[in-house]
Amino acid sequence: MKYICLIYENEALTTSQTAAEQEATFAGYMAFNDTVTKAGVMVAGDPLLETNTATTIRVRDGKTTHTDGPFAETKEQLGGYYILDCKDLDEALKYAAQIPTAKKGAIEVRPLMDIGG
Amino acid sequence: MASSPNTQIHQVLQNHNGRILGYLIRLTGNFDDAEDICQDVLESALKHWQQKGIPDSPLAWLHTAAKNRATDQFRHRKISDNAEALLIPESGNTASEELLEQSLEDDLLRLIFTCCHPALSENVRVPLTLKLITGLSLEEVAGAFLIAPRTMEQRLVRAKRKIQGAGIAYEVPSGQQLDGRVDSVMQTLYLMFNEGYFATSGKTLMRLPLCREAIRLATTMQRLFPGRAELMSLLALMLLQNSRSEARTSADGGLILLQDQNRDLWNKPVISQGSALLDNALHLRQPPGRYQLQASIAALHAEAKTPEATDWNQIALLYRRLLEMEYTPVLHLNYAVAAAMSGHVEQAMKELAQIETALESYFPFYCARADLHRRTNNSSACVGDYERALTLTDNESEQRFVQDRLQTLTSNQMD
Repeated sequence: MKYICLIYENEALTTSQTAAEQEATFAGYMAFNDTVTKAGVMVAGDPLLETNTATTIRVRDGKTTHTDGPFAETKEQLGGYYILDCKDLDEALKYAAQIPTAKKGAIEVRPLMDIGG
Repeated sequence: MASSPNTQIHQVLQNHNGRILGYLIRLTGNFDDAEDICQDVLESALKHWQQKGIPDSPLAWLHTAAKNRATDQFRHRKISDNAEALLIPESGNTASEELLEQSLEDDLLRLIFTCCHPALSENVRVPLTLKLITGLSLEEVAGAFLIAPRTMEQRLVRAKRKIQGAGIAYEVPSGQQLDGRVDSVMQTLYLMFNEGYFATSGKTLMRLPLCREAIRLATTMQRLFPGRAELMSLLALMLLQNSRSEARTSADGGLILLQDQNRDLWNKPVISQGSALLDNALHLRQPPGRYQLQASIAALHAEAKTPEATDWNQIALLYRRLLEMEYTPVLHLNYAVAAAMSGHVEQAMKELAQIETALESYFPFYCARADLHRRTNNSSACVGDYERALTLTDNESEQRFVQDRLQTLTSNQMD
C-alpha cells in the first residue's frame, strides 16, 4: 500500500537555520533516504521550494483566478514529501517517525488511493 | 441472585461478541459484512438457545454458525477469494476445542488492538471498542456518551473507514511495536473506565456498563499478556476504584466524597482482589509506571479503616512520583490535596496558587480550595470558591454536593 508522507514545518525557522544546522538536516535526510531505499519502500520523495514560489489557481465558470502564494496561510507549511510503499499503516508510521523534520515539524501520513491498473 | 435464562443468554452472547466479530472480520476482511453476519448469528443463537438452552460450548456453537453463514454469503455473492481459502482448512476435521478457543482469542486481540490503534482519535477509540467488542448496542454506546445514536453512528462509520482506508493492519502487533500498542490499549481502557466512573454530565446510571466492560477487557488483556506489571496495575486500579461505587452516591443520587463515605459499603472481596493483583505487580519489580503508582494510591485509600487512618504522607509521595513521570495540573491538584490532608495546609495553598490559572474552569479545583479555606476558617473565600464551582458543572449530583456544603456553611454562620 502506498502512503504519502507530507512534511510540514515552520518555513521561517528553516530559512533562518545556520550553515551547520542546514548541514545536519541535509545529512539526516541523506541517512533517511538510505534507510528507505535499502528497506525497499522508497517510491519517491522531494523537497519543495519555499511557499513564496507558490501560485494557487482556481477555475470558476471557465474563468481562472491566480493567487500569489500557497493554498492556505498556516503556521507550518508543506515543505516536501515522500511516497513509501509499506505493508500497513504501522510500517508507514514507523518510517514517517524517522523523517528528520518529525522532530521539529509534523508529518501527515495518508494512503494513496488505489485506482487499479 | 439467580439471573433469568434470558439474561444468562445475553451475558454469554455479550462475552463472546468480540471473538465472533473478530473472527468474521478476519474472514471477510470487511467490517460491515462481518457486523451484519455477526448480528445474524447472535439473533439466531438467541432464538435457538431460548428454546433448547445454552449449549455446552457456546463459543463452538457460535463459531460454527458464523462460519456457515459466512460460507453461505460467499457462495451467494461470490466475493473475496481470500475468505473462501480461509474457510477451507477449518472445515476439515473439527479443530480441538482448545485450538479453537486460542484462535478466537487471537481474533479478539486483533480486534482490540485495531479499535485501540493510536492512529484513531482518543474520543472514538472508546466507543468503537464498546460497540465492536463488548456487544453494547448503538443506543447504549450513544447513551453512555450522551449523544444521539445517529451522531454516534456517524462517528463509528468514520472510524471504520479510517481503519480500512488507512491500512491499519488487522493483526496482533509484535516485536518492537507491541509495547507501544499495549500502552494504547491500556490508555483506551482507562479512559473507558473513567468515562464511566467520573461521569462528566447528566445522570450516571447509563455509564455503569463502561466500568464493567473496561474491567472485563482489562481482565482479558491481563490474562493474555501475563507478567506485565502495568497491565496488572491497571486492572487493580479499576477494581480498587470500583469497590467504592456503592458508597459514592447517596440514595437520592448525590455525590459522596471519599472522606464522608460509609466504608462498610466498600466491596471487601473486590478490594482484596485488587490489592492482591497490585502485590503481584509490585513483586515483578518492573520500573513503576503510572498505573502502578495510581493503584498504590487507590490501595492506600481502600485499606484505611477511617479517613484519619489514611496514610496521606505516603499518598503525597506517590503523587509526587507521578508528577515527575507525567506532569498535569490535575495530578498537581491531587498532590496538593494529599499534602493538605497530611497536615501541610499552607504548603497545599502554595501548590494550588501555582495551578489556579491552568485549572480556572475545573470544578474539583474550587471544591478542593474551598475545603482548605474551610479548614483555615476563611469562610467568605470558602463560599466564593463553592459558588464558582457551582457554575462549572452540569452533573446533578455534583451540583447537589456543593449546594449542601453551601447550606451547611450559611447555617453555621447564622448560629
